[in-house]
Amino acid sequence: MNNAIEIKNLSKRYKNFLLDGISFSVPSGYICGFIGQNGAGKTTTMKLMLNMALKDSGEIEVLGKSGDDESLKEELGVLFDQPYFQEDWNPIDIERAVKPFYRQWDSKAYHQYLAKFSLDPKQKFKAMSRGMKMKLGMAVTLSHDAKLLLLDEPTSGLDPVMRDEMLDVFRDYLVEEDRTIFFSTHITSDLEKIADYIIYIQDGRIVYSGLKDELTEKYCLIRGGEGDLPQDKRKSMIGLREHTAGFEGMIEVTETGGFPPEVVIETVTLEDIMVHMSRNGETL
Amino acid sequence: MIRKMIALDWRAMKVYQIRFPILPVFVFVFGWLYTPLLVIPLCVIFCLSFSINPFAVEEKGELNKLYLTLPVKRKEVVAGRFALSLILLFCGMVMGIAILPLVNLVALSKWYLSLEWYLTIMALSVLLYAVFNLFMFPVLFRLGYQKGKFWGFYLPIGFFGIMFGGFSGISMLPGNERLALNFLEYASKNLLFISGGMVALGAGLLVLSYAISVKVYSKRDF
Amino acid sequence: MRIVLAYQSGVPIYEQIKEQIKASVLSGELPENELLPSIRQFARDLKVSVITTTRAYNDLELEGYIQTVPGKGCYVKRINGDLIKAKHLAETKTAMATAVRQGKLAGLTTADLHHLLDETEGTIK
Repeated sequence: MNNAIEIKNLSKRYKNFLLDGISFSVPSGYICGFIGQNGAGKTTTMKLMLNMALKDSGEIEVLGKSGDDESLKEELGVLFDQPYFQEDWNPIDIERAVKPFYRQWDSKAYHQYLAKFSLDPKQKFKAMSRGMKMKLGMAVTLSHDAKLLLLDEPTSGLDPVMRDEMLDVFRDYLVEEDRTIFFSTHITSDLEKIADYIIYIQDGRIVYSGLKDELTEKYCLIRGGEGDLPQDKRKSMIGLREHTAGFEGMIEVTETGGFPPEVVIETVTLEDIMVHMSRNGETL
Repeated sequence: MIRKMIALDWRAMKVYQIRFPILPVFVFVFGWLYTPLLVIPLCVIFCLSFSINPFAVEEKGELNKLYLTLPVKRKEVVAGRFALSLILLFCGMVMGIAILPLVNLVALSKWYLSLEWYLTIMALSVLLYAVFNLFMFPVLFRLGYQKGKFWGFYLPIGFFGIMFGGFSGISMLPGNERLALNFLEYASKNLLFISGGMVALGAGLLVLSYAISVKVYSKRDF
Repeated sequence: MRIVLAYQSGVPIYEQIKEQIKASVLSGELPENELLPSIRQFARDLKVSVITTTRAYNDLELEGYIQTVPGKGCYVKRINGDLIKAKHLAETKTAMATAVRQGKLAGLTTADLHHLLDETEGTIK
C-alpha cells in the first residue's frame, strides 16, 4: 500500500470547534509532521484516526484498514502526550499487561530496548521522569513490530538532549523500509531536522499537505526599510508587519522580483511560516 | 479476549488488590456485632464495589485510552468488566457462605434458619447486585468515574433509601402492621419460587445492564 | 566516503550530499561497484530526512553516477571520464553564452569580458 493514512472529508463537531471536512494522505515509509497551533485540531484528528473519538462523517483508512477495525492496532504504535499506563506499574507489569493483546510481541526485543534506554524494569511508572516515560512508551511500541507510529507531541516537555535522543530513536525505527511515522508537534525545529512531509492544520482545516522541502522552498522572508515595499506587492505579503524602521514579512519566492535591492531576503523555517500565517489570519 | 481484559483490569487494580482481604474481615466483624443476616448480601455488595475499581483507576491513569490503543473492541472492554464483576459476585457469595457459620458461632444475635432461607438470601443478594449493577455500570461506562460517581452510586443508594422508607412508611399505616410479616409468611411458603424469581429477575437486569453499557460505551468520545 | 554538511550555507542539503558524492566518485575515493549506504541508513547517519537522501540518490542516478539494484542497494557506476568531461564542457559553453550575452547588455567590450574571465577564474579554486 502506498499511503499509510488516507483521510477523506473527515468532519467532527465539538461544542466550540469544528473539524471541517479535512482530507490528506500520509505516504508510507516516511516521517510526516503534523503542525498547527494549539487548538487547531491536531489531537482531535489523531483521536479520530484511532477511533477514540467518533467521526461525524468522512472516511478514515489507516494501513489499508478502516479506522474502526481494532485489529489495525496490532500494527500501530501510539504515543500520546504521555503513554497510558497505570502509575503503579513498572515495565515488567506493563509487559505482562499488554503482551497478551499483541500477536507479534517480542519479549527479548522489549528488554533490549529497556536496557538501551537505561530504564529500570522495576521502577514504577509514576516515579519516572517525562523523558523516561516517553522512552518506555517507545520501547513498548517498538516491541510489537508496529508499522505505523502515531505520536502526539512526543517531544514536548523534553530537554534538548532528550529530544535529540528521541529523534534518533525515530530515525532508527525508520531504517526498515515499510515503516511510517506520523507525528504532531508544535516544536517545528524537530520537524526541520527529521520530517519528510508536512501536514499543516489551522482552525480545523488543512492548509498545506506535501513535502516539507517544497513548503520551505516556496517562501522566503523579506525585510526592508520604509518605502522599500512596492504598493503592488502588499497583497502578496503574508504576515506583513510594519514598524517605524521598516517592514518584515513572508512572500512567495516567485514574487521577489520588483523589490529594491536593499531588501534582505532569507530562507524560511517552518516556524516562520507558522508565525506569519497566523499573524493576520492569513491562509496559504 | 475477555480473559485478557479481565487480567488487564485486575492488573490495573494493582493498588486495590491488597485491600481485597480486608472485605471478609470487615463483614465478619459487622456480622458479629450486628446481625449475621446481612453477611451474604454485604459480601456481595462489597464485591460489587470492588468491581467498580477498574473504572476508578482507569480514569486516573487515563487507562481507558490504553484500552483504545490496544487491539480490543469496545464491546470486549465492557464484556471483560462485566465478567470480572460476575467473578467478584461469585467470590462474594462464597465469602459470605463461608463467613456466615463462623459469625453464627460468635454472634451476639444468632440466626438459625433452614437451608431454603440460605438460598433465598443468596437469591436476594443476586437481585440486589443486579439492581446496583444496572444503576452503576451503564452510567460509569457513559460518564467515567468522576462524573459517574454521583449518578451511578448515590442515586441507587437514594433509590433504595426511598424504597425502604416507602415500605416502612406503608407498614406503619393502620391496617398494614402485618405487611412485612404477611410478606415473609408468603415467602416462606414459596421459597424456591421466590428465590428462582429473584435470580431470574437479577439475570434479566444484568443482561439489560450489559446491553445498555455496550451501547453507551460504543458511542463515547474520548 | 566523506560527507560534511554545512547547514547554514544556504545550499540545499541534498545538493551538498550529491556534489560531495560526485566529487568522491570522480576522485576515485569511491571506486566502481562500491555499495553505498541505503537511503534510510544514510539519512540516519547524517541526521537528515529520508527525502533528502532520496533526492540526492535519485539525482545521482539520473546523472549516471550510481545505479540502484532492486533488493540490493545503490552501487557506484563506472565513470566514463570522457562522458563526464563532455557534459561539463557543454554546461560550460551554455554558461559562457549566457555570461557573454549579459555582458553585452551591460555594455562590456570584448577586452572587458576577457578581463572579467581572468578575474573570475582567479577567485574560483
